[in-house]
Amino acid sequence: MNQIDQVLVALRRVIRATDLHSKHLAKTTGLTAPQILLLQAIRDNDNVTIGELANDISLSQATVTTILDRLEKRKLVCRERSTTDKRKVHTYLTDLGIEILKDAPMPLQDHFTRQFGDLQEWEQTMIISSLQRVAQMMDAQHIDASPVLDIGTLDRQGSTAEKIEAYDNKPQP
Amino acid sequence: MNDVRESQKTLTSGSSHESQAGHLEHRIEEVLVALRRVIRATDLHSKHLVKTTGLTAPQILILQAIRNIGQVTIGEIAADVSLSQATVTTILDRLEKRGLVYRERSLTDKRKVHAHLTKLADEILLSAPIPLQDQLTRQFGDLKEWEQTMLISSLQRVAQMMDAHEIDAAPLLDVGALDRLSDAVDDDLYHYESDEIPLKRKTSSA
Repeated sequence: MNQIDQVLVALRRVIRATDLHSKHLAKTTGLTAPQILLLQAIRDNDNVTIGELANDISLSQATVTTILDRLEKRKLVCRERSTTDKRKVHTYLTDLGIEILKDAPMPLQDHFTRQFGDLQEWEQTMIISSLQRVAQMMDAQHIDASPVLDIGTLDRQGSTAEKIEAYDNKPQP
Repeated sequence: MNDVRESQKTLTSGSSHESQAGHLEHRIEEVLVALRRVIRATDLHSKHLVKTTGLTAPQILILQAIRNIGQVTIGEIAADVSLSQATVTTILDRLEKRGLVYRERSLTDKRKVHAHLTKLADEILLSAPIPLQDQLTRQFGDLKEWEQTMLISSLQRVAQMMDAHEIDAAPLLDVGALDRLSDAVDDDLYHYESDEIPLKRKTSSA
């Protein structure tokens, strides 16, 4: 295989793994990766506000709010005004939210992050600069991106893989 | 469930490790942002292709191969775009259905079937944006050999850390299945009403 094909194959593998993982998450939990990351952040931080959540998973407050709205509609989280400070609103998991999180597969990004953390510092640096170089060659260095391993828009609805397949097989108009 | 953020927190609690942990957190953020940019660029480009031409990246690459080679068999197209003959056949079927290619038995060798572009395909190709992968290929070719080698090993390392090193992948910068219909990458894919989707848990506990 020539050099560029090796690059393209590796990139396609990375993209495909992310895509397949998203579909797997949707199929098993009905949730997207950012939704699961957010539920985890709520579970791991007691009495947490939207600002703190946004900070924890490095997303904008606007995005977190949209995702929370969807999660609340699906009865996975609830929001309550703080009893000690009326200006603050805290977010909690519902029983359903806790249960879904228990069965949810580990987000690919947690798996990746753990392995990345085990690398030597020089390797981490090499990988970061390589990826930044690739992003630059794709004119992607200015894309506004959050540190989330996922494909679509971050505040999209969760959907099921079955639906995606049904969509794929839809006859062409 | 094991949680990475949790292990980071334990690290931060020891003050001597504090800067080190912050450092690692920063690197993790950098690597994830770079990855997301690469993935997002590919995704956005796919959508842009569909919007401007109604075609997917693999469809355009196959049309280009037919144009560039001329008198081409399915086997030759497959070799040129590094896809399996089965995938190329499915894509050609779709392209033929849309009046972009036609197949004709060779005049000189009756056993061979050649694919040709229609006028419509010629026109579409003229105005089609350059596939992102052509741009990347060109820029990658301009790099020094050591840089190329470094990029390849880094990307392979990343694929490995995502347990993706055994995924059967073609050298194609694209997001969905390679022989998908072009409208399958539409935004609508992500916009099903959540109420329509029964949660697995809900149904099993009911």
